[in-house]
Amino acid sequence: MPATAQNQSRLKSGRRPRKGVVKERRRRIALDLGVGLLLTLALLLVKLFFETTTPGKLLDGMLYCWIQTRLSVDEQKLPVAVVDISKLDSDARPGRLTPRAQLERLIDAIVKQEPAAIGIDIDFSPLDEGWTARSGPQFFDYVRQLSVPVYLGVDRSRYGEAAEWLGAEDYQNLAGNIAIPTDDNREMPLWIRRGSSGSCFHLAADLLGFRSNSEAEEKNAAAGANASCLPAMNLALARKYPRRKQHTVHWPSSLLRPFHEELIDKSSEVFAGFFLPDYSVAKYLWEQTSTAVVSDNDVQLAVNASLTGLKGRIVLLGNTAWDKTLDKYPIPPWQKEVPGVYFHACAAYTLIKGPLVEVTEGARVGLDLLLATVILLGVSWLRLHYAARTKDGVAAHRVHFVFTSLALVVVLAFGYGFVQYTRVLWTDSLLVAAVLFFHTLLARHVENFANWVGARWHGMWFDERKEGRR
Amino acid sequence: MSKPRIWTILIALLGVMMLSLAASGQNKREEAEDAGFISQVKGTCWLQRGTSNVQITLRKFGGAELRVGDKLRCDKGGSLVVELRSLQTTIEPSDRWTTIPRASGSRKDAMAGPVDDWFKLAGAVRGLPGGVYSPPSGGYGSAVWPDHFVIRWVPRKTAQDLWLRIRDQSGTQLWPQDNEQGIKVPSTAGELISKEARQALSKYRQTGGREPLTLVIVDSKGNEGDIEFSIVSEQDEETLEKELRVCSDQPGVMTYICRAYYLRQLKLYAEAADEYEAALKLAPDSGDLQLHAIAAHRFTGNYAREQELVRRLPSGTTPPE
Repeated sequence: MPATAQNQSRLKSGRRPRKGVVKERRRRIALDLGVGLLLTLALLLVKLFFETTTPGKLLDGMLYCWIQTRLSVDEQKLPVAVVDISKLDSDARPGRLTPRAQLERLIDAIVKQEPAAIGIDIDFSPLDEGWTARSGPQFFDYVRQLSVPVYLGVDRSRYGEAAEWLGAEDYQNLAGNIAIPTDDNREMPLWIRRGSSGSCFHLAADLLGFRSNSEAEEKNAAAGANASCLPAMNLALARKYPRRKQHTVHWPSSLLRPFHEELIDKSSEVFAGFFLPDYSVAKYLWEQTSTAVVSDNDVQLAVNASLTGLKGRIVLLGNTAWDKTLDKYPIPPWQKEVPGVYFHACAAYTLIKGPLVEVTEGARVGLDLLLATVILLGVSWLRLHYAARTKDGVAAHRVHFVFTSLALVVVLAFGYGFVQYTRVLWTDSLLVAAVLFFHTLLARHVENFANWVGARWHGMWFDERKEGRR
Repeated sequence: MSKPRIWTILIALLGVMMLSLAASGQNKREEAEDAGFISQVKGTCWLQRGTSNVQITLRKFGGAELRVGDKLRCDKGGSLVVELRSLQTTIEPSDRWTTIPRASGSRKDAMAGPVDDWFKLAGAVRGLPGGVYSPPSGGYGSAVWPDHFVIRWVPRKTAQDLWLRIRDQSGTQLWPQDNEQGIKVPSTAGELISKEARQALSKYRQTGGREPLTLVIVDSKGNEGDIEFSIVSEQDEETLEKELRVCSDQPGVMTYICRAYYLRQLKLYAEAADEYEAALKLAPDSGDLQLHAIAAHRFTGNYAREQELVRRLPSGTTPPE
């Protein structure tokens, strides 16, 4: 053997650890992997429990708001516009046009601007004693003969039969639900349905990017006398926007979902669909609000100076006078109270632009497990790879830290950084990042503890000193 | 049975079934067609039914029934109040017609009963010596309101005397207390308002009298007839007054339709008929109102007024059965 080759071989064998050391290292790696996986499961359970607690829910709400701040508006011309009707009368006043006539004059003025559709954020549901001063068959007939589709708000009667929404079956197609959830302002209603889901799913399938594979259900809906679907105002209006994109399915619904349904009334099979609106546009809608100017015998439309007109837009009429309306709610992300009409406008805008999708509970758990397991397997693979190749062992905790840092960057980038592109609201991404970080910190101590326990366990049953003397 | 005979029976049965199905379908359509009625008219308003346009006046259309698909419109300064089966609505001045929709259900307000009842017309059996109709002699067990108690009968052309008295179930005479034969009144008078009779009835109620009373009428020929009636309790009277206050807030003829309904609920048929008469003063040419007044008078037994109203009915209108 030449001298250089001999030296190299000596050098190599000098770097390579002994078989016993390799074996010990492999045992440690397996032990650490097992302990790491157990720690992952334990932390996941703690996280899941925490999410059910009040602090957990508050944190989830805060994280949702934090993610909402990343959403932005990129188009110059918004597809939705708001018209303030706070100066219109709700009850008849002597010497002035009747409330119904005022509304008709305003709608006439808006129709001249050729909008895509008009929605009115007023509750047109009948009262026990009759229709309100603004509603009634005369107004509904007026609306039906217009060249522009007009949708009328329904709140009080939203859980009723289709004929009850506006007081007669003839007007059911004009109705749009305008109720805003007061318990959770992160979501907006999409529909309220009775019986079969077919008709509602069919309405929203294009906008939310899911395939309505329920032809049979649609047939049932058409045949079933009790089946009905009251679309939310936002859904009814968004469907009429001519330049809306058709969103296609890129994800399995078991992982990401654009909406969810809740059972409202079991006995009469009433379900309500909800989705997550993009509230980033609220500020711009507020700035671009047009106004209805009322005089004794006329109503005129004062289009906002920043708008070129209302042509082709979705126009929402509502009371935007903060001090005059009770219909106001805190809007994410800054929870400042704004009139309800902006919630509907934001929701319609979201459906037109593209839905925000949320990560399902199952997918959240799966992602948590996947990330932690990938890191642990990556570290273990690296340690195994060098276990028999180098004399010095891999600095497992440093590697773990590096891998975790990489995972944190990915999680934060996906969950927060690129949310305006992905449109995926992964609200617990920060929590996942925190759990991964804790995992890194705890892993060393847990592994040390496990090794210490292992040594004590071994020492309890075997006498190493006696064996050494022999 | 021979084969041709079986076939004949089968075809006949099928024919009967088809006819009955068609008839029930027609009934359903007719039922569904009644959508509401007009309670108030101001200014110039129009009704379009099919191809005909007619001007609506309260005189002719007060209480007039509307059908699903009827169209209404008011000129400048005009307005209509329409009581639909499900809700009340107002028609304001406009160039456009408003179509009467199919009702979504029954009303939920205080007018639910009166409006629903407006679409039910019924008469009653009649006939009593002396032609007394207040208290009602319709045979449905009517009631009287002590403070408004009036005895009315159809005045006779030939003068004769009538003797009137009220007794309880045990035969004890309540009124008049000083004359067992009764109060003598000329048959041409047509009405008797007796303060003593009202006091006697009030006293009877105050002392806990709940049993029906009998008004006995005897004519000069000795023909005797009786009318059984009960007295409205104080509690019912209190409720009634509240309901009548709600009625007074209603527009146009609805006030009277509402009052008549609540009065009839307590079997105060005579008072109910009076309300229809009051409504007829507002809308004397209203066929629908006349029909309801006819039915109300039948309940009371006021045959003469009933016949008078039947004669005034627009041609082609059939009086209620």
